[in-house]
Amino acid sequence: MPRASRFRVVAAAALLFAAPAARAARAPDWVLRARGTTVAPALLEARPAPDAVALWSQRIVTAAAGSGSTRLYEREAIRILTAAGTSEGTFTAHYDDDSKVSVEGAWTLHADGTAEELDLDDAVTVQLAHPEYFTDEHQMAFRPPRLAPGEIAAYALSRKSRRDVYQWLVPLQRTIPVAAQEVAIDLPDGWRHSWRLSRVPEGYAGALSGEGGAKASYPFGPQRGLPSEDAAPPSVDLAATMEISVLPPAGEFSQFAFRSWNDVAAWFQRKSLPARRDAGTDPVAAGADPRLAAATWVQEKIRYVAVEVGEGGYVPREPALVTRRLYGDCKDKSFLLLALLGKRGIEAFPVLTRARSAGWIDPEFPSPIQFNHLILAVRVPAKTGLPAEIMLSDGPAVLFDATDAWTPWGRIPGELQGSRGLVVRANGGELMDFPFAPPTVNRMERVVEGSLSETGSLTAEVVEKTDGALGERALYQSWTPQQRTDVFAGYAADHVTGSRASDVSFSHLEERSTPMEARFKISAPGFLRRTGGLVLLPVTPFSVAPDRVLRGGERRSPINLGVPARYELKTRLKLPYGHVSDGLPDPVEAENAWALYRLVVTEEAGHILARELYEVRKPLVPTSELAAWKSFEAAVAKGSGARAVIMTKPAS
Amino acid sequence: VATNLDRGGRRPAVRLLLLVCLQLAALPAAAAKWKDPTPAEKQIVEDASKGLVGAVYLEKESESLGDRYRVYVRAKILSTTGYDVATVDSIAQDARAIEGRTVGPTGKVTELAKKDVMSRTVLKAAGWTIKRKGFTMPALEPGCFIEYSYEEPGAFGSESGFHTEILFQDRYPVLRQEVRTPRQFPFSSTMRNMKGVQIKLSEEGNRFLYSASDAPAVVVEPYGLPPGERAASLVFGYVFSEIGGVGPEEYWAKVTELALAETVSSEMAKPSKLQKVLAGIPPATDPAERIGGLYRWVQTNIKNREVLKAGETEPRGGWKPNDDAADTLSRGSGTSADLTILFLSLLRADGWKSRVVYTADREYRYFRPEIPSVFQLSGIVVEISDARLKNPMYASFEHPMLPFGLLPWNRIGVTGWAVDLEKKSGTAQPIPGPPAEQSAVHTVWKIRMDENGDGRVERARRMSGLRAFEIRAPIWSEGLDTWEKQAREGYPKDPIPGELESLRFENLEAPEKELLDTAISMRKGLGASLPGFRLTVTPVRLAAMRNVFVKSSRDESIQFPFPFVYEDAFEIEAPEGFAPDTLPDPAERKTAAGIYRISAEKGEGARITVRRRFELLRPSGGREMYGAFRTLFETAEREDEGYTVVFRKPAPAGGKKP
Repeated sequence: MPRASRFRVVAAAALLFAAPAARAARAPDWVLRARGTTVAPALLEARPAPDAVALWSQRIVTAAAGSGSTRLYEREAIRILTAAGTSEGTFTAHYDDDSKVSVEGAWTLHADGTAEELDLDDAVTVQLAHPEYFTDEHQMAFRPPRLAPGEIAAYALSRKSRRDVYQWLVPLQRTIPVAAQEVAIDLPDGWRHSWRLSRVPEGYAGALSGEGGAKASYPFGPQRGLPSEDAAPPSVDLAATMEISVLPPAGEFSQFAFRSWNDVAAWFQRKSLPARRDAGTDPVAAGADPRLAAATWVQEKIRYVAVEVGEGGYVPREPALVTRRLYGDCKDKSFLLLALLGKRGIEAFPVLTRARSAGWIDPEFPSPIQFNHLILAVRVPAKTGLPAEIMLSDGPAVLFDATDAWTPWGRIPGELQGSRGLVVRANGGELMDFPFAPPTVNRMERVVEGSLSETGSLTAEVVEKTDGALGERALYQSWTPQQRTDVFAGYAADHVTGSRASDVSFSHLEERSTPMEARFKISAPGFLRRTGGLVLLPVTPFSVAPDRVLRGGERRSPINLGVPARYELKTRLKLPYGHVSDGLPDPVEAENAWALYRLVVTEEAGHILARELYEVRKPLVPTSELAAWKSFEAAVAKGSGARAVIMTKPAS
Repeated sequence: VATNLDRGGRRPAVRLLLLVCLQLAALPAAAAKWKDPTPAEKQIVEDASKGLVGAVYLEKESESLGDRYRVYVRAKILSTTGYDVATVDSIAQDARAIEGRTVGPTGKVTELAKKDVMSRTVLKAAGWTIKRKGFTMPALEPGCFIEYSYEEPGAFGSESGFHTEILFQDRYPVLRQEVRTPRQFPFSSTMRNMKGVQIKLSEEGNRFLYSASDAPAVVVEPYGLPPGERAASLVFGYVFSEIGGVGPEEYWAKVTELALAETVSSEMAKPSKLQKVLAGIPPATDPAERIGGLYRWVQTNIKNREVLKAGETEPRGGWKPNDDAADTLSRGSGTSADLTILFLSLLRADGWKSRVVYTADREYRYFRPEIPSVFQLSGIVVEISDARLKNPMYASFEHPMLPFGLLPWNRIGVTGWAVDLEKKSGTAQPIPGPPAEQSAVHTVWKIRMDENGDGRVERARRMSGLRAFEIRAPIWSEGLDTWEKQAREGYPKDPIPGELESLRFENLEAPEKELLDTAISMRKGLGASLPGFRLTVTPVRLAAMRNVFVKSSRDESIQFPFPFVYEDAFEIEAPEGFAPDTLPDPAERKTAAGIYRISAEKGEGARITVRRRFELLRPSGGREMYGAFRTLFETAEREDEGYTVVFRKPAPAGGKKP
């Protein structure tokens, strides 16, 4: 859900919750029992201290034998520990035209033992739609009445599954600690289920996957809250999640059961049949490279507009309609390109995927619910060496994301590098790992060439070349010329305080296949700092050193460095007339398996030259290696703020 | 601002047939359903120097038919950044005749299909469902033209209200805009001309026509005008039958008499019911002290229902509304307005002359007495203008953490409408704000450095006025736990990252006193080593000013919430073995906006003290003042970030000569 939309619904809820209707009530027995739950002290010892703790969380997966629809029942009781924790008592649920949420009740258990029940008319619902991103997804929010610190908020609801999916993802860990929880299965006789744990929950020593019958109970012990840490992988990659597949009896609702990736591919193949039609008149001019010509046409001409209502959420539209409207979502754009390539005799396959920021795709859990994006794998006659190339079981193909308007043919956007995707073919599916582009592709090179005046001011030209995952073309293309100028004014002032930027220009802003260059000039009075008899020269204005990763000592998540990439800064600053260096910073070099940092400062013919390099080699630093990362950072800190001392040239 | 107040006049009715004919002849979209681009329009291209970037509105026409509102828009898309001009959201669910088309650069026409008009649930709650329609135009390409029209119910469609503002500027330039209303129309109209846009009024048969041309795009600037003041606009105020269609002066006179004064007067408590309270408030010879006593009694004894303390909830069954100040007193709680009226009652019973001042919320708009619409006003403050006081004093009950005499920033520095309850008359009244020195932060930073450039920092602050209120208000509403947690989370993200060890407040819930806080933290990278066994320390980075005025020029005036002073002393203790080496020269910059000063001095032992003072003396100014603000903040940021002191220690034996 877009973040802004979530804020909107919560803000709307906050307004309405100012005086929610309530009635005195008796809380359900399970809420009363939850009040007696012992909270393990370790759960509350985290820093920062939790604002709330889930005393009891129960999820029950059910199915109706006749209709085949499945439901997930949720019951939860949360003790609010602080004033800020009352927000944890605002519960949310989302549904669309194919699914439903039924709230059974929400209660506040006051400190004096009395209870109040929310009038369910006071639940707030917002449809998360906009004409350019129109979905049938609705977000519901509600909060039990008169909730205060020390009290218990509880709710019970049920969710009806999308009709095509018999699978549930049940997170066992979340931002607040959970004292006790149970996942239960309550299916009709003859039905079965399979389950898998994406990660090992705390204190759990049992099997990580299994199958069971119609009834089962899976209790889990106390789980600490997931910390919110900078540069962390997405929270779904940190939480232990129970992946559940409902398995109907043989011969019943078989099209809804996904036991293999082939089942998932077959499902999407069926859904996409209406879109496997001709695109009508071929709008693409002939080009030397037919793949490049068709791909670029779709990128340039088809605006991203998503209308995801009902089956539109996962069924692509007919290519001819997309050509007429000149807009569509990822599926529409991909199937239009598929049709255009088909006209040229080029085979291509849809690839279901999701960005790394949405979490890793679990290869052991074949399910459509792991995907939210579609790209293409375009067959090539022979290996190309392109960064987006993958090797299918029967030959090479090049991945292409038609939704991304500025990533050129042959490459995939940074967010998809290192992800996974399911290549959908008529006869099955192939789950593929996507490649990372090498640092020679994901790169940024910054050159600062300038001169210093005797009064201490710097005038310089900055040229920044970016490419691959570090490419900034899409960003600049989304801004007006004035916005670009304003951005550089802020950017310059952020890096060199008190500086002013001017003469902003770009090279290759439109040319996808060439690294983009941004160029601007700065003037910075007071760049040289005089302190007593010393004159200090910062040698790395516009440093490329990485930001510090916070809370290194207590950290519980791996450090996410993004993608393999290379950042380079070259500065060449002409000293003021009659000045020489009196001391240059020592060279800095730090290297480990994940990254390299280097700074070398020299003096040459009246100029101070600095060369700074930061290279990411492996993007994920495991928690077991945090000490190595901290020592790397310490070295980087010495380099990024390095200053030379300069002085007036002594008389000879 | 020019007001046209003939709209609510009792003009003789014209014959129905003639009226209908005239109206039909002039419906903007009905005259010709669609318009083909002219040769001149085809020549328009993106040109930043002319302000043509992304898109341009060629025509915006709207007409109120009394109970319906028709809209017609035609625009040209100049580049992909202007695609948003083709998306229309949040029109009324019962809007009808929604039509549109795109004319491509080659003349190809693509109609907006009816099924591509979306309907969504904006909000569903408490038995209500609010839905809205929207659409995005098809077949967009740079160089294409779009046009669409629709009709909504209501005098001004989905924007209908007692106070309606129709903007004559938009995110993109508007080459021509026209608004039509019937002559017989229960709204006054006021043209607010801004940024060179002149809205002209003319008569067109039985209608009024408001038009403007060549309106530049609206640009949002940091510390710029409130959202409601950024664009030229046409303001319609509903004319209530009791007030009638009269000039602004008469309008305000009647509104004051019939509504503003009456509402408050009727809710005041009789003096006889307040004697017990008055008797319990200590007498004082100083008038300000006595009045302050009345204020504090209300603030501390009557709970403000609208600003509950963190963790507080409303009572079971909800609040019972207060009919008057006696109710407020007996129930011990009320809204901000209830508390204000109780305070007014106490003032009157205690013999102090006062007025109630209605104000706009400066965060969103100003109050303009030229506009005859009471809906500009959104809050009330009390002016005590008794002859026994040296100067009038002001009081607000918007927040329990406001001390006597201090108003929230969004109520000061602007004009309000002061109402004399006895005379039932009103007058425009500028509401002054406190001088900079009364919203000050004085901070002493004790920094003990180590050789790695890290430091242990003890920060002791004294805060007054609105600066203190800025801290007290969120702590009141969200709780000290939340504040401390956010502080702990914020320290590592500071430009000089650190860990907060402890945080302590004094006078947190004593708004009449200075707010004191003490924080102890460890900070990394406060200093750095320098060739020659030196250690540099740049201490003011701990409290560096941020300069947002980085653009080379500015289109609109500058508006800070209030003037203020920051005064900081950084006492730096060198690591063992180090001694002060060099100090930077003092620096000072005075501009019409304020003053910045910084200096360094050697202290006892191995200590250096850096003193920095920043005064924003003038919180607002026209665009011609931009240079003064920019220079002041630019200097402050540069010096704060770069003002460096140096310590040195002797070279180790056999090491390089320092």
